[in-house]
Formats: sequence, structure tokens, C-alpha cells
Amino acid sequence: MTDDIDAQRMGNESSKDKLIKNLTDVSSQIRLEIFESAIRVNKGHVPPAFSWVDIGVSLFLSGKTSISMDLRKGDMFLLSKGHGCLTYYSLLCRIGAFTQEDLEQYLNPDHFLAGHPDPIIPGVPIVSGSLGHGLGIGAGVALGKKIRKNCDKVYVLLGDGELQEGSIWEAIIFAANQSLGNLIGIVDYNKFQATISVLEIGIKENIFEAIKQIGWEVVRIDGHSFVQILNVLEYVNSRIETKPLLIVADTIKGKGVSFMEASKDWHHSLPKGDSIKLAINQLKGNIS
Amino acid sequence: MLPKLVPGTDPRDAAFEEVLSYASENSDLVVLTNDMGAQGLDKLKEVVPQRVFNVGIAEQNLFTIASGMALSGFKVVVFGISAHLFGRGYEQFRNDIALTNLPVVTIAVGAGLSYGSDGPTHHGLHDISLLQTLPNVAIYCPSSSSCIKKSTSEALKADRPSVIRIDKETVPEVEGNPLHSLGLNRFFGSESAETICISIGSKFTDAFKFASCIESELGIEVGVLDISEYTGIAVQELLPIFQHANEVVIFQEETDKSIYLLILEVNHILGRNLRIIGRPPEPEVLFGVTTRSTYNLDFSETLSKFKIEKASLLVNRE
Repeated sequence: MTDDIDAQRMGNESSKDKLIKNLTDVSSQIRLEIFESAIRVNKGHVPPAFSWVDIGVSLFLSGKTSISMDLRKGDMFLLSKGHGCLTYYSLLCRIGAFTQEDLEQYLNPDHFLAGHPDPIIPGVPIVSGSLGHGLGIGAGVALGKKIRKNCDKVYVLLGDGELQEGSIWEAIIFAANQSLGNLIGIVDYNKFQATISVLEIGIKENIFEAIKQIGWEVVRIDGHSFVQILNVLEYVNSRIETKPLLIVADTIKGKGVSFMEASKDWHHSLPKGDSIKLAINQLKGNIS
Repeated sequence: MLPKLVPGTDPRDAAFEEVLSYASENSDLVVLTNDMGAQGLDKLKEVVPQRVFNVGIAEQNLFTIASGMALSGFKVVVFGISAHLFGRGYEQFRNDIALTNLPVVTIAVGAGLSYGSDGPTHHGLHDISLLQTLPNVAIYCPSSSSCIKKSTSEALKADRPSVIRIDKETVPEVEGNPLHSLGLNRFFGSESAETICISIGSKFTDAFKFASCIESELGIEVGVLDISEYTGIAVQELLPIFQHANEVVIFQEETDKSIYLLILEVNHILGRNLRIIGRPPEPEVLFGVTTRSTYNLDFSETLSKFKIEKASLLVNRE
């Protein structure tokens, strides 16, 4: 398996084309949904949610994983970058964890959809919001599955800024040492954190080589290419490997709204006035 | 008359004896440590080597791994030094175990100043203060090996997080039964006790010795309230103990003030004016020490370090 996923590995072209078209549409719908939710309550981490929508849609809705709202069986998904929860909530709604009416209650104080995920939400196994916890928890779940000789996978969605947390490195070392081949970390590598680029803080490209040296398998994909995302998920299902896998997904923070893309200015800020209409028009324009 | 004290066993061995007993009857046990050793743990490794994991010097990951394994349905026991676990790993414990209400059992060695000369980085002075603010968490401060075994056994059966804070040194047992048992908390002494010594954890030994001295030297009716189950303190259940009391002496090393609040509540409910005539040195005195200066004291040392005037014990008596 090379670092760059090749579109030539695709199987049946027409059914896969259809799948990709559907996933693309759903992604566009989810981005619009996220934006409208945040605007409705004037609060939300929209760009951090936008950057992993395509990855999330592939994980939850493509059929390439067995992630479901039943946490007792199948693959498990952990959102470590909890501030990306708006995407998570839309995905959970689409797999039947709760209703559309529930989804529209985001940040209603009398409802369970808060600013960061919590196990009070159906289908959510962990509290996240404080960064750096998810990979260790995922390693614990993966170890448990390994002890039970269970072949299910544990997917952990990480932020790139989150790699600064020391606890992430504790988990990286542990997972490699325990040969947790069923642990799949996905880095939403959108290059920005709350106030600055990750590069300016010191997260450089060679960090992924360091993780590889510790004992992980590392692959790189375009996090907005459904071809590449689906190919890597198929690879996950077919690999027989004792090393944990890190998927580094190059993404664009704020993908979908041009003036919010690839910027440190919109981490948890929202447009005002005419900019809202402009953003909605762009998001609607992406829906076929 | 207070009963006698007899030698006890190593606190860590006592805890792991119960864990081993659990392991012999259940297949879901996992033990995680941050590179900590103990004889009892070594025995466990011989019996269930595939279930004992050293996660390395990584306290945060210790708790996140524990959380993940508990989510997978395992009964997880975490073992480490309290100051390190709940210093560095507090947020992980708080978010990933307490908030998620996972039934992880944490055996935290080094309660109070029990690491003595290893210095303040190893002293468990603040853990109760941090832990007691977390709902769902059962906190045990067992005073002796028998209490450690009972609290560990209870914790292993519980469906919520438990923390068992144990001493590093062997502490004596009491030969004889308490007058009252309130969960794992115990009251020894007289029904009409006038002076009550209240202790947390292994400070019970000093509380007991001090109470025995004033009983024999000053002829005062005494009682010793052993707080071994910290979250099990129900004020209403304690009221009969304080019916005849005039004063209390508090034996603890931790910074936590719950015992003082307990006295306030007792005074309020009973309409009494119990005096606190002896208390441990202030936190700022103990923070940074390199000896266990408030433990295993004789009578006069206790009077001195706990600032008790002998005469104050005889106030309001005929």
C-alpha cells in the first residue's frame, strides 16, 4: 500500500460512481444543515466541522464500515476533536440515533445536543471537547476488542492541532507497542487551529514520519476525494496488519464557503448580515 | 474501654488479595499500571499475565485506556501513586471515567503523607479535595488492611467509579468489633463518649492511640470515628455518636475540610456546640514537607503537633 491512493484501484465503476455522487450530495446537504444550525443559535464551530464532513459521510454512510448507533457491536467511532460535533450530530441523525426534530434543537438548553458531544446523546460513547483524550480511549477499546479476538475496528477522528497534546503521544506509543492493528486514527489535517496555523505552532509534515517511526502505518489522502477516502476504507477492511493505522487526510478548514476556507479567522466565528446569504447560496449551489 | 491494636498487613497486598479473588471468579478483569510495582501485583501477573498491562509512565493515558477498556465491558483496576494519578491524570479521570460514570476501580497508593521522605511530589494531600467534587465517584480511605479488603471488594462489584486511597506503610488492625458500623465507617469506644477523635484513613492509628491515652490518663470517656468510606458519610447516622460529646480532635493529613463541615452540621442539627480542640497542621505547613511529621506520634507529640491543650480536655467536666 503506497502513501498515495490511486483511483485505478476502484472496482465496479458505475456503482461506485453512484455511491460517490450520493455521498457528495449528502455532504453538501450536511454542510448546509450545519451552517443553518449554527446561524439559528448564533454559535458553533462551523469550519472545523466542515473540514471532515466528507470523511464522516464516508465512515457513517458508505457501507464501508459497520459504525452504527449500537455501541455494543460493530466498528466504533470516537470523535476526539469534539468541537467538530456539528458534523457528528448530522451523521448520527442520519443513522437513526435521533430525529431531525432533535437535530434542530442544537444548543437548546432543554435538549441533549450541546456544544460538545456527551454520552447523554444517543450513539455517542464518550465526552469530548477537551482535546487529546480520544486516541487513548480508542486504544483501550481496541485492546479490549483484540483480547476478545473481535475483528471490529475503532476509528478515532483527531484534529491536527490536537497532536500537540502530550496524551496523544502517550496513546501513540501505547498503541504501537500493543500492536493494535484494529485502531484507525484519522487526522483531519486542515492546517489551522483556533487562532493560528498548526505550522506556526510547530506541527510540521515530519510529525507523521515520527509517528511512522514509533510503529504506526501512515497513509496520506485527500480528505475531500471520495475516491481516495473509499479506497482507504476498503484497504482498512482488507489489511492484515498488527500496526495501528494513521490516515492523514488533507482537508480544507471551512470547505464549502469560499470566504471561510483555509483561514484562522473563522474557527468559532460566524458570518453576519449579507455574508450569511452569500454562504447559504454557495452551500445550496453545491447540492445537485 | 477501647480495644487493642494488633499488627496489620501491607496495604497493597490487602488490595491485590481482593483483586486476585475477583480474578479467580471472573474473566473480565484487567489491571493497568503506570509502571508501578507491588508484591500483590506480581502475584496477579503470575495468575493472569495476559490481563495486566503496564501502560508506561503515562498517567493520562492510564485513565483513557481504562476508560476504553471499561467501555468494552472489562472490569478495570488502575494502580498507581495517588498524587500522580490525580495530578497529571485528573482531567482524564474527570472526563473519561467520572463524567462517563464507568465502573473503574482505582487503587491509589500514597494517601496523605505516607510517602514521607519521597517528598511533596508524592504526597496525596489534595486528591480528596479534587475527587469529592466529582459526582458518581465513591471515595474510600480505608484505615486498615481489613477495611482495604472490604472497600476493594465493594468497589469491584460497584457500577460506578471508585477510588481506594491506601497508605504506603502497614497500619495496625483493631482487635475487636466496633460499637457502630456505618457502611465501612466504624465507631469504637463508649456510647457516652465525651471526646471523639475523628480520623481519615490510616490516621486512625494515631487517633486510636491518642484516644486510648486520654481514656487511661485522664479518665475521659472517648470514642474514635474511623472514616474509611469517605462518600458514605451520612450525618443523620452519625448523630447518636455525638449525643454526649463535648469536643472533637481531627486526625487527617489531607487539605480537605469536610470533617469540619460535618461538625458544623452535627452542631446545627443537635443544637450543640462541639469544640474542635485539636486539628492537624495547616495545609501550608504540610505542603512541601519531606517527612511524615504528623504520623505515628506519641501522646505528647500529638498534643504538640495538633495544638491540644491538655487542660482543654478537662473543661466543662466536674
